[in-house]
Amino acid sequence: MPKPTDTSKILKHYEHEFQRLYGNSNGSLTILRRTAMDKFLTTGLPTPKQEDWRSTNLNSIMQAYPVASPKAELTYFDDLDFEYISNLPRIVFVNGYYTAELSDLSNLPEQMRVNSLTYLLKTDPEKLTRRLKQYPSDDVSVFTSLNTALFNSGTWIEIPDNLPESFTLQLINITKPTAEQQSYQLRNFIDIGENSQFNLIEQNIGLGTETYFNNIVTDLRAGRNATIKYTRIQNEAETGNHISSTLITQAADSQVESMVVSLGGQLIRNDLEFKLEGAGATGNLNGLYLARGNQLIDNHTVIDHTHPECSSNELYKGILDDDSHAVFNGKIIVQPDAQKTDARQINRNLLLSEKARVNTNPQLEIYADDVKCAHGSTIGQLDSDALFYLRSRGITARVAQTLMIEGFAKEVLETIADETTRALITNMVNDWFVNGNNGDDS
Amino acid sequence: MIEIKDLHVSVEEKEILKGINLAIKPGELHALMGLNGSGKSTLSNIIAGRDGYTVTKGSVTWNGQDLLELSPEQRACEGIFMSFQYPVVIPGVNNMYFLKAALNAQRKYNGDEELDAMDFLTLIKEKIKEVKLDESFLHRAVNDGFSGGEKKRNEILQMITLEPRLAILDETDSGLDIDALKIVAEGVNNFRNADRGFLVITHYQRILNYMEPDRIHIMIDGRIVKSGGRNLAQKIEEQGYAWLEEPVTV
Repeated sequence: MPKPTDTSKILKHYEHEFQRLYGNSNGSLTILRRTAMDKFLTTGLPTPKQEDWRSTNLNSIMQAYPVASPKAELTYFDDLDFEYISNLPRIVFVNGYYTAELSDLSNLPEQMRVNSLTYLLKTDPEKLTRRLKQYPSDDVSVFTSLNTALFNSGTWIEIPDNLPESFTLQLINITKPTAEQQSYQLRNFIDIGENSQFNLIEQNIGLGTETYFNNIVTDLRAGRNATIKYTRIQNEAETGNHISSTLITQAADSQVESMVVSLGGQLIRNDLEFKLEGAGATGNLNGLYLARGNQLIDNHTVIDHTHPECSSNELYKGILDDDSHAVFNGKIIVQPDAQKTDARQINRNLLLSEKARVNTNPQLEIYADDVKCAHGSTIGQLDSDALFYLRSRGITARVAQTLMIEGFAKEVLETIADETTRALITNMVNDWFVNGNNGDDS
Repeated sequence: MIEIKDLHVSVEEKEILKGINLAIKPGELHALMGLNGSGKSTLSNIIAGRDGYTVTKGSVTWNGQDLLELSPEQRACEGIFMSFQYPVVIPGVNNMYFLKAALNAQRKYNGDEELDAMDFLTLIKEKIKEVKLDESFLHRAVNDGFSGGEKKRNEILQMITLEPRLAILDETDSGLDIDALKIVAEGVNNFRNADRGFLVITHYQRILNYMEPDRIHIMIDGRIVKSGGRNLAQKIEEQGYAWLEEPVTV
């Protein structure tokens, strides 16, 4: 564990990075960046005294990480080991650099626009400025401000209204640093038009042994009656740190289902906020986190019901082994106008070792009277009666445990409607189980 | 086949079984009757290998070897099966997958070739008809959302699929309506043969109307106080257990 540094030094470091990258520029985007940087400097890095960061040990990112600039660092890709769905379009970034050799955008619908931000920053920064001004998302977290000040890579996805059929895009971010302690500031802007359907599978994959820090901000907007499935897989390297801040804003009657699978990385912190900003919107949030070693996986979700007759359904499950630590914080806000809200939230945790621990904290803020809200959270161990039951039929203790652990995860995996996506994730989860069984097989 | 000699068992310092002697030979069906708390389930749990019990004295021998040395899964593979009084729900674990894993674990242990998915499917579809459960139960999580009777029939399904040499039915009859009881009893009766032993643990004489026990044992306060033939069950039905309260010396 790296020693914590004086945070003022880190703030100075990022200010220095800002000067290095944008000090000579005075475009409208830079002005906006400057404001965000000032906000970052004023707010400062989170401390354990702040409610939202109380249980989250950020030591591993309390370092002066230089901001990597997207460039073709790796010229051969043979040793980039990652899984993807081969027959579906994909946009692949390696260390923030759009890598055409690994991407396949040939079958995208014509009306759809997919760009790397590096490209847009060069060709049309005004477009980004307009987008950021129209929908500022800096209130998600201080890391969003940092990202706004510094982002130099990411994806722009724009889907028009009334796209006739649903389609899937894979967004794959591979991090394999070629130098120590790089930070990658990625930003994704995703706009889905009215009545359109979109299935996004985002993978964040870390390779290699260098320490790094991914700070990823995603702003997704769902138009009226749009249907979106957003799957995010975090499989960072053991030395990887991953902070993500995601804002999903839904117009009336839209349906968004997110699935966040976290299994790799030293530190993972996900801030996921759903804003249901039109009547009849449905937001479903599912998550599965698997941690071992001394990993920390922290999911903070906020569902903000601002309009009537919206529903949200949240199911997060975690499996924790060794010394790992998980945090689940699920806030549901029902604003005064959001009558007839139906909000459900469940968080379940399975501890496989004595030392693993979890902080689970549901937070309900309800300002309307005609609402249905239900929440529950559990922390438990493998059921010894069930274990005995399986063993009494001839199944070894080890296999019985694996069956039960997989059974625990299955409830979440079954929420993935798309079979191909489910198979991809199930494979990764199974790999995780298998890897964990390597060391301690007796 | 199984021989229990002077078995004393404690749970957290409290003696539950106080010297049990019982031997079951291949082909025999023994019934063990007694009130709640008499120690019947402790005996079945000890045989199946559940932990939490301390054997302070005595032995359980299985075909000449010390049964108490074996893990629960080894005992199962050696041919011991216990139908649970309270079958456990295992969320997310598919019933058919579980049955196949169990059968193949036992086959592997015994040096038999494991069944592939197709062969197993053929087998299990046949077996499930015998317990009159719908095939949909194979695709649900183990015992998840099953009614009491469905759970017990699922136990019998496991029994006839795994084909144990000794089957212990721990209050399999409790909570069953008469139709379910008949299905369970029929499952057991069809399953009886000259090589297989049974220990039917029950509260009531009712299930024994549908089976033909070779021997009936009455357990009170951790001891078998009386053993006899079928008419003993009838007497319990008529007179209860009170007349037996004074332990007799065997």
